[in-house]
Amino acid sequence: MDLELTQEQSQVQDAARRFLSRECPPALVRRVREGEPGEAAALWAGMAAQGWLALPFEEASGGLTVDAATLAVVVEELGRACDPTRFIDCVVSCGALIQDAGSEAQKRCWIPALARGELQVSLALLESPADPDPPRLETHLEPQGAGFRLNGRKLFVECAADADLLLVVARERGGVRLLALSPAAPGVELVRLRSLAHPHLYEVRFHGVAVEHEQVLGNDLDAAPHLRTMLQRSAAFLSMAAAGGTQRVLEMAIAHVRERHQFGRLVGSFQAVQHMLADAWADAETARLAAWEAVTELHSGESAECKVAVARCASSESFVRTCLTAHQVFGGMGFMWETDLHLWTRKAKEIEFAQGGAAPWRRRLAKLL
Amino acid sequence: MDFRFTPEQERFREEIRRFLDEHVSAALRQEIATSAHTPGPLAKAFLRVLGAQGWLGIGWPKEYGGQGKSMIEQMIFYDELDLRDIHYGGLTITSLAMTLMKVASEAQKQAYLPRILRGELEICLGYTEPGAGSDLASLITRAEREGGEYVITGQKVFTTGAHYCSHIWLLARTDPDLPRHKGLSVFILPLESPGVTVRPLYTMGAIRTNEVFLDHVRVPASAMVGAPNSGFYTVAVALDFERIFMGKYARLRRNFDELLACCRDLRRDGRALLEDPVVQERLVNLHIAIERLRLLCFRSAWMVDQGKVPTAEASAQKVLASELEQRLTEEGMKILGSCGQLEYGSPHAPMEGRLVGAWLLAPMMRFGGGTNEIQRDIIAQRGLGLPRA
Ligand SMILES: Cc1cc2nc3c(=O)[nH]c(=O)nc-3n(C[C@H](O)[C@H](O)[C@H](O)COP(=O)(O)OP(=O)(O)OC[C@H]3O[C@@H](n4cnc5c(N)ncnc54)[C@H](O)[C@@H]3O)c2cc1C
Repeated sequence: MDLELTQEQSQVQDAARRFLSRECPPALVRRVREGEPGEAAALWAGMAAQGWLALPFEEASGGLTVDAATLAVVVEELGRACDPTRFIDCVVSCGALIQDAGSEAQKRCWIPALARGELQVSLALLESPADPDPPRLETHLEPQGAGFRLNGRKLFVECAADADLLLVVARERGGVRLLALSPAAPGVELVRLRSLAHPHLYEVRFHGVAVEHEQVLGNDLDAAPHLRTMLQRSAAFLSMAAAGGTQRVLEMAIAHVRERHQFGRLVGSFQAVQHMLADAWADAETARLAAWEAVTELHSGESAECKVAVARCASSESFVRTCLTAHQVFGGMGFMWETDLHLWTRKAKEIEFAQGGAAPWRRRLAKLL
Repeated sequence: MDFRFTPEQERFREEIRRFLDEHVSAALRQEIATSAHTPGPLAKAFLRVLGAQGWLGIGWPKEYGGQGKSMIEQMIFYDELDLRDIHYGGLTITSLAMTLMKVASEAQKQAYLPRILRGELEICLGYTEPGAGSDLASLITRAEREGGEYVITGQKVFTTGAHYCSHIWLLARTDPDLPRHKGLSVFILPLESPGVTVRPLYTMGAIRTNEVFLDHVRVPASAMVGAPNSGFYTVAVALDFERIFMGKYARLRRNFDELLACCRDLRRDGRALLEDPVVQERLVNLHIAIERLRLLCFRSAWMVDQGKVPTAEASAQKVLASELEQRLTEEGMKILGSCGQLEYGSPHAPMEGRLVGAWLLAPMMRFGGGTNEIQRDIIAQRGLGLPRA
């Protein structure tokens, strides 16, 4: 057992933290949340220049071929910084799907562009307001002429209006297909949703959208196994982001109670306050360990699924709970719009709800036990 | 023991319901749903309707024009309003007016009580300052005597309602040489007084509050409520009234009932959410917690009617209600799945986004109006007789 980062990983961590404290201050997070995703364009370009957008990909398709742990270090830092970009959705989820399920031509076409920050992809997965498990697919492809026609609707698609491509999960006869299409294609309708969690969510409706063979990933492949692999990987990295956010919020809470005086004493000297923060610390530490175990054991077969499930459930709950504790020790100040704390509180909910949330993982875990 | 309402109380509830069903228009409901920061014109008008019909004075003694009803009946009344989100002047009616009756001069009672009763006058609370939250007695806003006037200078923060109320109930330091608690006095002054500036503070929830700056604001000595330097006592009286009304259960019950209805309608894996044993378990636990809170609320009310002062009970109500609000909304969002995150005005938002709205406000309930840590101190020390730390 070795529960420390390697020297190399520590350097990546330091560099990432320095970069994000410069390029991703809370003021930027706020601008993206109150405005449009495009506010993060410069940050995204900077992340591309750091090579982060190439991290998950093989060298052969324009990536860097690093281990999952290095990617995890970066994702944890992104979580700390309340990252307002589409990193997990676009790079970790969609990028990995293209890499796993795409044809050579599709990989050559999309992955280098994605790694350069020039191609923004959003996953269109969920369909029902209350998420069935496994996702029941109504969205379907029908053959038409040389290609297909797509009908159906997707919900909770992140930044759909600002995507170059939507990666749509659809059913065709018995199988599951992945296809890439532009949100501006004829027959695609976008409806804005309003969420307390993710600031730019959409319902996407497909009214007989024409789809060509080249848009379907891997042509005749059944995408279901790839989808499962992707969901598992993404859950591990969502856990990592949650762990990073939790630590940052705990630090903010501690800093506040070290500064604020009431009754002639530091608020942090009251036992009631100390106990709340002690519980939050144990929460944050165990969630972080679970996330790291999940990431490092991603490729160890069935046991990986259990670890990921534990991490996904533990980390998203800890993140929310720690934010609520932080609100309690901050008092009125922390409730103000101008105070940054609620940016993380909303982020915690964003991570909790991402890709159908933790509930499917709970059910999965119940079956695996 | 008998936990049932009397037939008169049941009739009373029916009477209120009929009145509200008749007078709460669709337009008012729409306004309530969309104007969270500030009671809109229809809400303000409805406050006057409540006043004109005598409903605002329901718990006030008859000598002040009230109906002199028991605390149980008041609870029934406020429950029915809370179930409909109706603005009824809140603490002005339930706490400040009652405090005025206890400590104010005859002239002040004449000046304020009839107008409060008619729904014409609303008062915001000017306690908290940037440096004085839980430790209210450390506040530094100064009121200095100059002839027949006081000159007030300082800053209040989180003064909710200062942008729509007519008056502020202000705690200020009148004698800096006395020990902290002893040199404070309460004033009522119009927010229109020269030298008062109100600036908005927006929050993470759908509530606006304010900063209030006081720069050499001149008020007549008669604006002081109670004796000079008795302000901490006056505020303690007001807080006792306030706490009884803080930990109410009706809004929780309403949100729970709507959540239950959603669980009947929404489907997952081909069946209603309500048929899922996990959902059932969660709902059952929430229901039990709300029932316990309801019982505690009525116990406090009953104690008041017996001439007793519920201290530990009222504090426990506040702690339970605020923590249950957080739990109900958190669990509710989990039960509903992805659509649980959607806010008012969004397609697919269950409960018109009310659960999300309440989740965002819940942190404030836990530290506002005396933090839950302070309430637990009160329960342990005043209720259980344990020594101070
Ligand atoms: C939206 C909103 C509306 C409000 N409306 C009003 C209003 O209308 N009028 C008004 O006057 N005020 C109002 N308030 C202020 C509110 O009452 C205060 O926020 C509350 O009293 C807590 O004070 P504080 O925020 O300074 O927190 P602090 O007192 O700084 O507390 C910070 C933390 O320290 C803990 N702590 C402090 N002292 C102790 C202790 N002795 N033992 C253990 N723990 C302790 C607290 O429990 C809390 O967790 C409002 C606040 C908000 C956010």
